[in-house]
Amino acid sequence: MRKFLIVLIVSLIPILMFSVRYGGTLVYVMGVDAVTLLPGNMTDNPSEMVCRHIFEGLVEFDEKLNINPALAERWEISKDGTVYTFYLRKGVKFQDGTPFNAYAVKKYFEYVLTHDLKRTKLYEPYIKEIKVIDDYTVQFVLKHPFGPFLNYLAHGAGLIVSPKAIDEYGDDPGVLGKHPVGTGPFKLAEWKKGEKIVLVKNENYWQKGKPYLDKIVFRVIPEAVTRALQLQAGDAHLALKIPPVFVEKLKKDPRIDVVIGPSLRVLYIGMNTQKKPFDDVRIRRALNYAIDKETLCKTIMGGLAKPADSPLAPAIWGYYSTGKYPYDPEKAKKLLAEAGYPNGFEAELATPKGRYLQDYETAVAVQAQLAKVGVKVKVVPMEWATYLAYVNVKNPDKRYQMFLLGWAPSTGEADWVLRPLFSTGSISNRALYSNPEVDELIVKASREVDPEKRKELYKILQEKIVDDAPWIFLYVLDQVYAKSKKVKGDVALPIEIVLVKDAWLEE
Amino acid sequence: MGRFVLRRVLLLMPILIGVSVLIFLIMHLLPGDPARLIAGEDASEEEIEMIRVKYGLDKPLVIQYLIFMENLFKGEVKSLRSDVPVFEELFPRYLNTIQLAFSSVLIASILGILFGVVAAVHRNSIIDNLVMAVSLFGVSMPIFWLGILLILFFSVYLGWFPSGGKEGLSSLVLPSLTIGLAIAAFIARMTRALMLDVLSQDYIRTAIAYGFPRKTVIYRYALKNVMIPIVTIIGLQFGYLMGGAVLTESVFGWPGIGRYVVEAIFARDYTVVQVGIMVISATFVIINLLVDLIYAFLDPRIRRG
Repeated sequence: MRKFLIVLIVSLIPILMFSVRYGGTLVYVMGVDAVTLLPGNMTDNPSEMVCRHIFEGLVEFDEKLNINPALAERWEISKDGTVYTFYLRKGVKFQDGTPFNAYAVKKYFEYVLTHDLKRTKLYEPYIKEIKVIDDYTVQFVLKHPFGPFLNYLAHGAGLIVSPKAIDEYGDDPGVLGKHPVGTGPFKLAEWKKGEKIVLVKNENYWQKGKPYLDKIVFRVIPEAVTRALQLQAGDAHLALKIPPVFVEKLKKDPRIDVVIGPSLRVLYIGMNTQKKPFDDVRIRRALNYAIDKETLCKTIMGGLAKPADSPLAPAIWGYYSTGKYPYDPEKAKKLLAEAGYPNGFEAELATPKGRYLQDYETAVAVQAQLAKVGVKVKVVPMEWATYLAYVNVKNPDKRYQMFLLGWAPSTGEADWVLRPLFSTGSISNRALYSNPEVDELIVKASREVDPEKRKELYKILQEKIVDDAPWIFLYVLDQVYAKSKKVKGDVALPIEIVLVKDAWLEE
Repeated sequence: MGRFVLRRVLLLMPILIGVSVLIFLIMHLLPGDPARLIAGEDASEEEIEMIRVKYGLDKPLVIQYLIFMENLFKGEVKSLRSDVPVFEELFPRYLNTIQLAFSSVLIASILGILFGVVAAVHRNSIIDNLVMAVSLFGVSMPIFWLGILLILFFSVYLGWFPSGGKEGLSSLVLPSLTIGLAIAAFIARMTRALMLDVLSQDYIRTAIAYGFPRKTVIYRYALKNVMIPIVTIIGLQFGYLMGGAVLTESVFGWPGIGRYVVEAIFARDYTVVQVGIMVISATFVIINLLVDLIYAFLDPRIRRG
């Protein structure tokens, strides 16, 4: 009897949990159109958002950035960390009827590696060769052990394209980018550039019973206020990038849910560690103590950010809370005096305007807070492209002093924060930070196969970097979107991606 | 007439070449590296360098320009971001822009001329004052603000029209109204002033003295004479709108050519900006030609000359 009850309950769970409704069209509004629907050629967020509904990779992220099986059922990693063997799911077909198998995996990744796509260099430094063991077993042989490799496969560029589509259109990546064929739950029906992308249900999807929606319309509305109004007017079900002023207003609307979750984006003010007075670590620490991050998050950011105490966002695996640099203006003044600047100094702080939520406003607030400890900062706002040219200037004499930037690793892991931003000589290391010990640890961590050991190395790295303070660590941004309460089953990945592939619309 | 048209069309060539050189120089003078922008914010050095080489951005400027022109003549200019031919991306947006410009100008012309004439005929009456006050409001109102107000009222509260996007003709109504009202206000003020001038002339007074019906005098004798400057204004406005109404397009998510070019400027997508602005310039020249042809239709003197 007990056994019977357990069986009954277990079999009821799916029914109780998923009182889903089939059918309907979900309208999803974004600020910018997708650029291409060829995974290996995309570098922008909207393209990835759409592609993740059409394609699937060997592995995939969940909302906590764990790596789960997708087209691979399971995998093995060799002891030395250079051979990844994937056992593929059987009975999966691409939307054009081509079977999914080891040859398809090899074909896609070799296509990316050999066709100078915009993401070719994401894989090329690591992958030595791809071997088909049998129809449903494929091996990636790496040039050297690389701990985060699975994340690179879960990356948007790792979504697998049908071999038939590659044969047909692959000569021209622009054309292939308009003919997306994947194994995912939705397929492309229509793409009106700058206007909308319409996906329809893949009737032959391998996960039986899914998807629930008949159709998804990704509509492009550049103006954030209109996106919010579209929800209120009932013309859309889900809207990305809601302006902070609208968050409170939408929260009061009984028909709308505002979803706030963590992102991986850390905002920071880099200091040119090669230039006086920022070459003195005491100055850099002093500026960290002078910033009241809590207030910054509460007021300027309207609660849509959390204070940062590491270059890594807490949602990243391996994050360690250093607890460093609480607000302490007295300590800041003391450190400034010790470094020989009892009356502070003058400096320039460059910032983009409108690139990140409240970027310029943050710079101005920092200016006011630094003034309290005697550091007089001039804020210089710039248009994004101009700003990027400015922070990448090669001539050391023309280099900036302080600059505000954000970073979010599209691979969703720690290596792609630490290596580009803190390795000596890396182009994204705009603070020109250099610590040989850190350089060594970064390489060591990336090649460490044992996750526990890697985590320990990341901890040491975070402590050292925060201690050296090449940045003023500001905050971690939240990601915000709003949706109609009818929408259920939507998933937000912290890599600034909102998925509705398993969503349904309640009546 | 035929020779006149032919000459004007031939003149397009040097204009377009001039525009292409100018835009090319301006785009390259702007700070900003397209390879870095295209590679994405967290790109590695290798990724950026590969893109720079692939799109020839590492070549000398003159060579880059010549490659661009060669591709243009072959019709193979591709967007740096999407690798898709620019014309293919541009054409549907161009049609959308024509649609929006045409309906806006239509609304503006009908409302503007009608209210302008009514105000002039009933000079200094309550109607006149009302039209002038409303039109003053109309010309000074920011388009952005008007657009959002229209959405709030007609979409969120009344639910009559879609709040944005492009789903059938009904989504054309609010963006056309937004642009149309602002231009209508301008046309109404111009029409009124011009009409007042003409109505005070001798031949009108004579016509009225002869006892011609009032309507005939106003609409056939007076209005026809003010049409030339009004058509000029309408033509110019239409020309400007064909360059894209960026703000309106953004507010309503209307996929027109203006936003396409502006987004390309921010992304330093050189090829898209070049082709986009060349197309806009050509359109402007052609519209001016059409306006000149309409003059001839309106004024027999021009036809003979």
